[in-house]
Amino acid sequence: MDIQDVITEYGNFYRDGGQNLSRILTKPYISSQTEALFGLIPTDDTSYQMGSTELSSVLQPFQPGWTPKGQLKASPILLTQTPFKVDLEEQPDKLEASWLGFLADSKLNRAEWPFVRYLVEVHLYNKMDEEYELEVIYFGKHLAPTPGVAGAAADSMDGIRTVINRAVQQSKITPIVMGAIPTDPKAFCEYIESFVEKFSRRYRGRAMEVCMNPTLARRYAKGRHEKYKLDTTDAPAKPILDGNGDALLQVPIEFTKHTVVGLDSMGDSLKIWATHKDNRKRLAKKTINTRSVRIESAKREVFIFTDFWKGLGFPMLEAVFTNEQDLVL
Amino acid sequence: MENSNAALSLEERFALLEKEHQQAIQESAAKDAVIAAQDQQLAAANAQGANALSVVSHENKHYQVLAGQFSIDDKVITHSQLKADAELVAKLVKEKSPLLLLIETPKAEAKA
Repeated sequence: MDIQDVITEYGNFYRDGGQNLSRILTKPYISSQTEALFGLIPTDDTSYQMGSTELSSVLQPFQPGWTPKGQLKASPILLTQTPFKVDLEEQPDKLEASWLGFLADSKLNRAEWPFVRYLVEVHLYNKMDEEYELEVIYFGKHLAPTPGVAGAAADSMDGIRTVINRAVQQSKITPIVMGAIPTDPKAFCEYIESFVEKFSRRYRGRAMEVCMNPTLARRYAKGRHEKYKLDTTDAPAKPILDGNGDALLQVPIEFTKHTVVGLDSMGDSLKIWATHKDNRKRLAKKTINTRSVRIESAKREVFIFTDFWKGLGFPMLEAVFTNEQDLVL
Repeated sequence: MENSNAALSLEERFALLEKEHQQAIQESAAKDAVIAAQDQQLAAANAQGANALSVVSHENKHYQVLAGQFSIDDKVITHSQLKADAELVAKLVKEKSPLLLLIETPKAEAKA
């Protein structure tokens, strides 16, 4: 913990001036939104195996003789999850002779001081959610950690971008070449309409969330309004445009069942991807540990830790549609 | 070249030959560096998965194709089709398509 600025400004002493938690302000954390788009498969398997089957052509013109035709083909589908951990260590004694002294306590066990509960409940869980949203769930690319060195959050798991780009390189997802992304809202609205029209016929009729970064989603919303002048409509006339909250930025795509969704997790990525709800799956093991921690104290130090597993994937890769942007692995 | 060299003294001819020899070594090292870098990039691309490796060329520049296959104008284009279609490669390069990643040659390193 770094409280040097507080000590410099308010002095290296604690005086009860009525200060309490209501005077400590915190920046709002970005909530975890993208994860909610993925259906949960709770499993202890770190590698979750599924299969898909497909029957080849069976119809044929009649003839009296026996002419068998048609074969069932089975293919493996593998979803994986990887481990995460939090190791946090603090020396709360620093607080005692400072303006923040009300977070200290007279108990010898530092783990029981109010500071620890404040740290975990106000910051730790929210920070875990924010990092997962902004660095892992989309941009993550799993990298084995260097022994003894804390790795970057983004190295913990393969995120959506990595899963899609790897499948694109392996010809399991075919990106749709759309050209440069228009900066004009109306032209961008038409870009999205053209994009969804290119979905394969087999999946086109299924409702999909067309995911993109929030800047593009706002551009689509403005372009859609400009194109259709939707002042009165059955669709939300004034969708929530700024999304540092629980509500996703969602705007319907005209004449389809699809919806544009703006995701903070996608940062500035120009990738646009879509698939139906049943094809977005996430794995989780020891999920309860994302909202519980082990707190230990040794002498005057406090150690807070937890660990859990997460992973995501698309069982039917052929049902994932994306443009040709941001393809570098 | 023979005539002009004949007028030079033995030391001067030796110095000239030494200079040419050094130039040849430098050029060879530069070429080795380019080959090594391309080998590395191609190996990296190959390691990313089956059918991942595809490099197309346009105006003496090489580009790695980042998609195993892609759909353009409602047609699916595979690596082999793209390699055979110089016009499409030129179009994608002109449009600065993110499908193509320029394979950089380490000129600065080669000079050093």
